[in-house]
Amino acid sequence: MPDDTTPAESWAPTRALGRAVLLTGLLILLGVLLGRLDLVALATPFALSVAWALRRKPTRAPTVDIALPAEAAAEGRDVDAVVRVGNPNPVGFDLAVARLVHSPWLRLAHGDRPYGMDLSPGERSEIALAGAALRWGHHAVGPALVYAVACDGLLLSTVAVTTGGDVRVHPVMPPFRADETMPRSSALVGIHRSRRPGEGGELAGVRRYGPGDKLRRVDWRVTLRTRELHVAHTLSDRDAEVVVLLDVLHEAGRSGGIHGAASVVDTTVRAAAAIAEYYLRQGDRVAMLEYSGHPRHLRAASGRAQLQAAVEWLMHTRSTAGAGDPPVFGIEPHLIPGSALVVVLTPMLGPQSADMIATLARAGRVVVAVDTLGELARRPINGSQWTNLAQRLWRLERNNTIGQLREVGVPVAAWAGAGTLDEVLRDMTRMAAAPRLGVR
Amino acid sequence: MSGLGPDLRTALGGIRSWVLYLVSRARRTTPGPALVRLVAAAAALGALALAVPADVLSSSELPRTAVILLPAALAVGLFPRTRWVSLVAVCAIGGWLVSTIGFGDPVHVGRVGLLASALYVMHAAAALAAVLPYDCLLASGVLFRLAVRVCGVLGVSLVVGLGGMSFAGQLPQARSVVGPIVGSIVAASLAGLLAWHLRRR
Repeated sequence: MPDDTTPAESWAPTRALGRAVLLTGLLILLGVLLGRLDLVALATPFALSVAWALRRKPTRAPTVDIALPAEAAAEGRDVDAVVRVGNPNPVGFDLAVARLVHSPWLRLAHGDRPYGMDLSPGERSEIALAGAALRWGHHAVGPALVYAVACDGLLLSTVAVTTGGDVRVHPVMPPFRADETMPRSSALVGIHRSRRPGEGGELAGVRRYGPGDKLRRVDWRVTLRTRELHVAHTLSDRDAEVVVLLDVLHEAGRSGGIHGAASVVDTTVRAAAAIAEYYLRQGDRVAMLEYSGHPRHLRAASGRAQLQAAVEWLMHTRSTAGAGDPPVFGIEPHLIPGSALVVVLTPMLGPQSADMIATLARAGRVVVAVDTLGELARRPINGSQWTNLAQRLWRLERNNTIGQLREVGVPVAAWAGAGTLDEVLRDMTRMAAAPRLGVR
Repeated sequence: MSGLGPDLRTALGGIRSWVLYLVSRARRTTPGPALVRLVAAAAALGALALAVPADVLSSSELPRTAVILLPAALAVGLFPRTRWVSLVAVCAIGGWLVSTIGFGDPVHVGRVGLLASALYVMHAAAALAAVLPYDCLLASGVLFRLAVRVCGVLGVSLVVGLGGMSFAGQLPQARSVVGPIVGSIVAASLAGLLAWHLRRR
């Protein structure tokens, strides 16, 4: 990052210069008037130091820049930042004071203190700061400020500033797995055992041989026992597309970082990262959508590159409560394929969220809502005599919303890490495999 | 009385927050800046003590004098950015004149040297303390550089100033003439030097 200082820096005299000149003049004047050589002797250190110090003056302000790691760090891991301070003058600095401003989520050791150093002519000094990144996201490091003092503390430079940059911290991924099958799948590839019979590895049963069955499917043990040809009946393996929809329209709770309590956005982002990682490692395609005043979309893809893209995408997530209006029509259903499983991570703190989820369900999408409010919903609030009552009313209203969502076919599960989706996926798969009634 | 309670509480709250602020500042203070300020305060105390008439220091007035000198010197360390440092230096010079003229203290070369050293150390330490944040993590090179600079300046100055003073003291006939002449030459040189420096900017 380049130094932002202009070449027209200047140095200003300090109060010490005025004091030295004042004392020298006063002592010499008194010495002359009173004929006292001792007063001249008292003035000598001041006069000599000023004369010696000002024989060569610096002309340029100190330089400063910040070096930050290019790679993203994991939440809770250490990050490094280096502040480089330089002296471009042929005169040394008695003191250069550098101060770095940075995000409170970066606990850099002594990062909140200024650093003082002396710099010889042309010398560059580095201040290495290291500390834990306490929360996911893009954390600002900078600006860095530096000023210098030269000529025995008689001259003070202007303050040089550099803008700095961001340290990228990706969220921790809590353990997550979903052992249940996907309710819908999109193609006859992949690793998910479906409820449909086909060429897969999952044994569904043994049945009599029929026309079209392949000979390699013959179960010889059962055939010999029954003296009739039997074949192993398998379920087909299929891949799936998962759309993780982050409802960050509202924030609740105060984030304590990796070692503290999680806010709603923290839970949402970490859960999204875990879900994306799990399904991408399975070989599925994962897309991401953000439901906020400024909706964002990450196209569906699979593989390691998509995991990195998803993590990068998640690092930009911010709560937008009060920052903008939600989109009028919610999330456009055309952004989500009909065969995709939509996992909506939502605290359900506003009617817009429930409307959006219901709209997707009515459009024929397979939607699972994961409640990210968690313990915050049950936390008692201290207040007046009406607070408790208001909180109970609010809980009833929220439970009512969740019930309404279930009525339109959206199961709601509280985020609990591994196994969060198992129960709801099992129910949805059973419903998807059941025969459907048609009305003519 | 009813109105006094809230006012008193407000005042106590203000004092409490002020004390908490001071405590937090004291906790954040680092050794380097504290040492520089301590040196400035100690040098100020030394300069004031050397400037005070010897009779006062040896008499029963010492505690009363200390009550005045100690806070004045301490303030130099606490407020090095203010004009208080200049004021203390001027007071020390005034005290020196009062001691030598009013109280008839003899002008010993050693005492003049100590006073000059104390004044300069106070000035140099206060100059650094004025630009040094109290919570700064300081490289040891800064203090080493300051110490070397002060020692160098004092070494040369004491040799030149006290040597010249002693030499002139050996010339009783010229005593009244040498002082004004040397002083005028130094004053003119200094004025010319400063003017040259200012033009160079």
